[in-house]
Amino acid sequence: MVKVKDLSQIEKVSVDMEKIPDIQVVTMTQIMGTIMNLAGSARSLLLTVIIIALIISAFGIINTLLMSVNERTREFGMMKAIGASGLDIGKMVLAETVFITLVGGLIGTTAAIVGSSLIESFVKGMLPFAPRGTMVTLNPELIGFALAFSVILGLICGLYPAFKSSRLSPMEAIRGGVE
Amino acid sequence: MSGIIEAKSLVKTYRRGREEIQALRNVDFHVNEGEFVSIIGPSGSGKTALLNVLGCLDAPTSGSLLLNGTETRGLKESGLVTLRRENIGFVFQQFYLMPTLTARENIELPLLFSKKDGNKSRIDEVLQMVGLGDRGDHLPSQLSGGEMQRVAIGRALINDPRIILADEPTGNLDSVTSQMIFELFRELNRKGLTLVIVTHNLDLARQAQKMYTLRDGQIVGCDDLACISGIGDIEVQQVAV
Repeated sequence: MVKVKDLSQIEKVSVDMEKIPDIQVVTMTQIMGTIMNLAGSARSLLLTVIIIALIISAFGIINTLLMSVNERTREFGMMKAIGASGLDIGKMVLAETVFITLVGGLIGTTAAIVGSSLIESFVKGMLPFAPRGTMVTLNPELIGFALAFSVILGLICGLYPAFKSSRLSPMEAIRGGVE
Repeated sequence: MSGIIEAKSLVKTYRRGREEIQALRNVDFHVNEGEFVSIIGPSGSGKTALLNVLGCLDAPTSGSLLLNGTETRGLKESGLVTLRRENIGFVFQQFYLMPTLTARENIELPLLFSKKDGNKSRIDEVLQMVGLGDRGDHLPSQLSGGEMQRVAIGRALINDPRIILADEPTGNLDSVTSQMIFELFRELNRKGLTLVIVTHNLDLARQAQKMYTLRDGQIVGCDDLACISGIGDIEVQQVAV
């Protein structure tokens, strides 16, 4: 390993060293570039996986909500019979969805914080030259964003089931639930 | 005398695939304020269909329905909700109580929708009225069938409606409990409430002031209860209503 005192001389020193037979020179700048490229690729891959996971979970949420609305058809019919409007039912379904996704967001964030610490200690045990200190940092803004995103996702996913439940005819809902 | 319920030439047709089912055929129905009316008839005669139309849970295919002087035809969903909320209380055969809510909370439920929640004295009053003063904190699973129906009646009463529509309210109850529920209905009627009750039980139906008989979607029979000896041999006569 060769250390250069004057950083501006790196290029010149490496070119000079390349002239020595059987020597290949790799500068730290090149290594850093490669690492950054790998990190960038990993980040893109991770982002793609996150987007796919979000789309799948969104469909999962919508599907679960629609099943829940179908199972509660009679209940909604009864509520309409005792004075609830379609808007009341829709708001109720939407509020429940947001509550569930917010709780899911809180559980997910807690699991991420605890899980990342566990993974960090596991990875540190595997790496021969693990850096000192903690590799995981908690970003309050990111946590806030994750929670806000879970609420927004809940709102978006709950819109159609809320609309569907609000449009139920009370009589058909009661009859549908009985059958 | 103008009625609190005035239905003229009600027709209700359902479609099941290509099949068309006429549940109601030109039904005229008249109930005065404070009356206790029962509707009897064999299964499939259109009793529940009539009750659903009278309660604005279902729209008639044709005909007119005046509830407390308001023509329901042409009313939008919001208008029907208000009309239902302010004038009608429903009691169903299956009770339809929320299993996770106590008797008190079940009775309170309509108040949440009419934005009058928090009226504890009214809930206590209704609990007393239906004879459940000491059972308010019990869940439906901890109540008997008769008590559950009392909760359902309390829920129907909480918004202080002018009409109670009950669809087979004693259908899931034994004869003693059924009689107790009917006694409660009669007591409510004595207090001025209008009651329309669909039942298969002729003995109970006879306790009403007026009895309509439905068959094949049409009103047949009379309000002279003495002339009836059984559902199977009801004298068929068209009545002017």
